[in-house]
Amino acid sequence: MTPAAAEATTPSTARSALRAIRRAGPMLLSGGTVLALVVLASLFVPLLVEIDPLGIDVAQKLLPPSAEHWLGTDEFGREVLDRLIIGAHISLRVAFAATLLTAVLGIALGALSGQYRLADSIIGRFSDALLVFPGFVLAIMILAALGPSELNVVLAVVVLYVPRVIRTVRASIIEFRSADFVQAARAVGVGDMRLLVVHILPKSFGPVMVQLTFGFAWAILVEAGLSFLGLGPPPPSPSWGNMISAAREFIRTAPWIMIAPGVMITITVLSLNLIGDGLRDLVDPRLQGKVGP
Amino acid sequence: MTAAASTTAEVLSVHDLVRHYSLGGGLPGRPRTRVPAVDGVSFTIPAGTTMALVGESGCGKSTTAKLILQLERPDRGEVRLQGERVDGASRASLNRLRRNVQMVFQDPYASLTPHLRVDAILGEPFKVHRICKAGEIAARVAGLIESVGLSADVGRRFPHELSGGQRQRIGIARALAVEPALVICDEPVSALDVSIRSQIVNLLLDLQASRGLAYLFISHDLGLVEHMSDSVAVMYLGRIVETAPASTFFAGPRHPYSAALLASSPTPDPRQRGRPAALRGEIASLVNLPSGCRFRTRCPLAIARCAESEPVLLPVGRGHLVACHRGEEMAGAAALPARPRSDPTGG
Repeated sequence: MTPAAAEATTPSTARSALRAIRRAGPMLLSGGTVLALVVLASLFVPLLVEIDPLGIDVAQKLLPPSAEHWLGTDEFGREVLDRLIIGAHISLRVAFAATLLTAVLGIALGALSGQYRLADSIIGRFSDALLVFPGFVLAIMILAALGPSELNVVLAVVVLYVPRVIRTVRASIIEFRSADFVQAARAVGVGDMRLLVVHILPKSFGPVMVQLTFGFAWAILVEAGLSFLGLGPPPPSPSWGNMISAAREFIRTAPWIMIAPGVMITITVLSLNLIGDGLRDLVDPRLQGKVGP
Repeated sequence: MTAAASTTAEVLSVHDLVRHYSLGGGLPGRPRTRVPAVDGVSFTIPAGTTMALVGESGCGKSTTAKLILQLERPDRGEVRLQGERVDGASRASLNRLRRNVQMVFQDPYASLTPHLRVDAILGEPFKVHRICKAGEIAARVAGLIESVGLSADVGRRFPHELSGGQRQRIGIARALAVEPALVICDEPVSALDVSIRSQIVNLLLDLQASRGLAYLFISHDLGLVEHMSDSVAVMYLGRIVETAPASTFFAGPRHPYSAALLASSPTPDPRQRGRPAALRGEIASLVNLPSGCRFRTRCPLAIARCAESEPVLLPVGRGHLVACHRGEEMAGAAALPARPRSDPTGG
């Protein structure tokens, strides 16, 4: 990654950057491969094979995995595999939208609070207030107030995660606004806005990327958790959380209905966390084990 | 031609510049402590000349530079650029300042934005001051790079791909982009390897000769100062204690602090070597300044009067000002740990 390479100013930091790449490489590679497989499968399998996540066939209900039904069927005779693939769309779409919105809001508000004292005290108190609540409990409150829907899940995740990004951006702005290179640019005559966008903000992209990767994983978990409680996208839409929720009754008789989406959530979140850890080691080797939700 | 060739002979003057920092005071009931980092500094730099500002770390040299450039707002005092007052609150005045006064920073590793290529760093002054059309920037940048003795291909590199000397050349090139009349050099070679210091110093001297630049040269290397400067100002704890033309200063400093500084700088000739500086104790704390003269706690010549009143800068010779109660006696005083050379008029 370039930010890490850019840090390699002296031989000793070059060495530690190399060490970081060596450490981070396997994590990034394995996490990235698994995530890429999940995303590519959910995107391209529906184009190649006929998929029918909603097709009810009561005669075929609760069948265990077999050559014909690779992951078995659920209580309505729907293909678990088909639902799993389409479910990835919903889970990933929610998480992606939430992460994107978090990034935009977090960077904008973080930049504001890093630049202006007044904005800082207002935004800062709001983020403190949000950070006081246990994240998931607040998510339940928001969904209970707004009603279950995909969009509201996105909003809940954004509200919960944006304070972390704000803090990260704010911290790097405060760290770098008195740096020599910023003073030098100011002495040349660079104005405040350009100073912020060209000289200061890019320094926060590394830490923000790390935050967002963990945020993405966390959004998938929140979506699944909310769906499990019936607060996510309403059925029959096959999000992974919905599938687990519906499979509760059949855990003894047809455990495959629950295991399949559970495994998908686990490996997706795990791969994202690996990527986040790897990025974090690249961006700042000193932070090992310190960021993350 | 540069803007230095204007009608006024002085390119920059500062009058009674003051900057106090506040320490503590975050809690109610705890008073703020005032730290006078720069406490009433005045000087004038004639166009095309070099004034050296010397003194120990923490004496306010770099803060003075930042105040001049309005990177920090002075609490009091004024900066005049070619006779006209600089108003830190006015965009137009700031732009005028920045098109005429530029700075080379001490640490070339920290003063170049790490994620920008050299081309982008050097193109920035042209962009923000709209010096030329967007299409011409590349050519102007190439010209700048060449003028500091680098080959044009460094433009495509990132700062971390350059050596310390190359980076400092880029720092100098950036300062030259706006064709300033004055360049403040804040210890421009102290972070560099000894082997490349002289190259950078010679580059600065060449640029001065070819462009008529004036320099405010901040340094604690007196050998270098003697080599480069036309006049010298010595700072101690936020105040200028002595200012003189360089030849006068190096022939016979009148302030005991200047003498001690001079005595502690290494001389290549062993016969000229003075005794080690006879300075007692640590530099006094800015938070808790001694009464009277700030230097008296370390001064070998301190008398009772030094604790009672603070000496002001008074003329002792042509262009030579000293803030010392015993400045008159200092001339040629053999007891001082200065160089054997002395001013015969004072004896």
